Amino acid sequence: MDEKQLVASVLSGDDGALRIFIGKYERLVAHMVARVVANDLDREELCQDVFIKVYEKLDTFHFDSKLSTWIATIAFRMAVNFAKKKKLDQVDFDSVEFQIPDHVRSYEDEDLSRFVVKLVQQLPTNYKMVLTLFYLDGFSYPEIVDITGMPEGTVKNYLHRAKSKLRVIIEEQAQKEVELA
Amino acid sequence: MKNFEKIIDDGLKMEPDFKLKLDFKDRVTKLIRKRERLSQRKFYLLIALGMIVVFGTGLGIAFYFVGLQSFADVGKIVPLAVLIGAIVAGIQYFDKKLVKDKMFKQLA
Repeated sequence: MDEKQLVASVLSGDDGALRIFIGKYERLVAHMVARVVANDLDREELCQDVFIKVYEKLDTFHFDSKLSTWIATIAFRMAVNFAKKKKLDQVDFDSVEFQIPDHVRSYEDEDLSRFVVKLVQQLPTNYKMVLTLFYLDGFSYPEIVDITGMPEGTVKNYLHRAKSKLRVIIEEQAQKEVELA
Repeated sequence: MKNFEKIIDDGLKMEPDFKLKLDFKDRVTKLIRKRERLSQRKFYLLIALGMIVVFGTGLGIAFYFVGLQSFADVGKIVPLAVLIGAIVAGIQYFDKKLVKDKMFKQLA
């Protein structure tokens, strides 16, 4: 079943199609929500609200973009609003003080990669979202522009600055581990 | 020398620990249908209220302007009421058949 058939079936009230629809996009919505919200109950509730909103607005979607881009746009707005409402995002990029553990569990690449995830969690919401959309969900720059409403230059700048900062911290951390060894 | 670029890319591509429960889609589907039923009930209630208001106003107008003397005379305006009802139902039917169904076919 292609996207158009699936949407038509959902709009005609088919429960099975609605389940398939939610199953197809739940991973995308969960990624975006999980990056912004820390509490699992809040995450689940927000994912639920995103799908309710998507369903309510589905008849206004005319395939001008990819369905995943449109759903991500709704998830992005709702996650950002949630963060604002709960005052989760009160730092700007330059004033982020990363909480770095005394040492990473080991010098293995996988542990360093997990350490990267922990650092990403501490970035401001917009940075986290752009990184998630680009690396985890594989959206292109124009698609991220559509989803976030940010200019393409800002998206590229966020990706570049975030990665540079992560690289500096990871390198410092790896250096410390070498000195300790 | 470690490949930091790869380590960072791997970290950024790492799935979050959070996973939605297996029955998530079933629960959301049920919730959506429940909300639909509630809003449909609200809609029908509003329609019923609207009909009562229209009926009451119609009766008032009939008594005041058409010159009905008692409820026994209401029968005289029943054909007109049936005609108006048939026109409204006809409009609804053609709206569904010609407009809404066509919209769904275009989407499919």
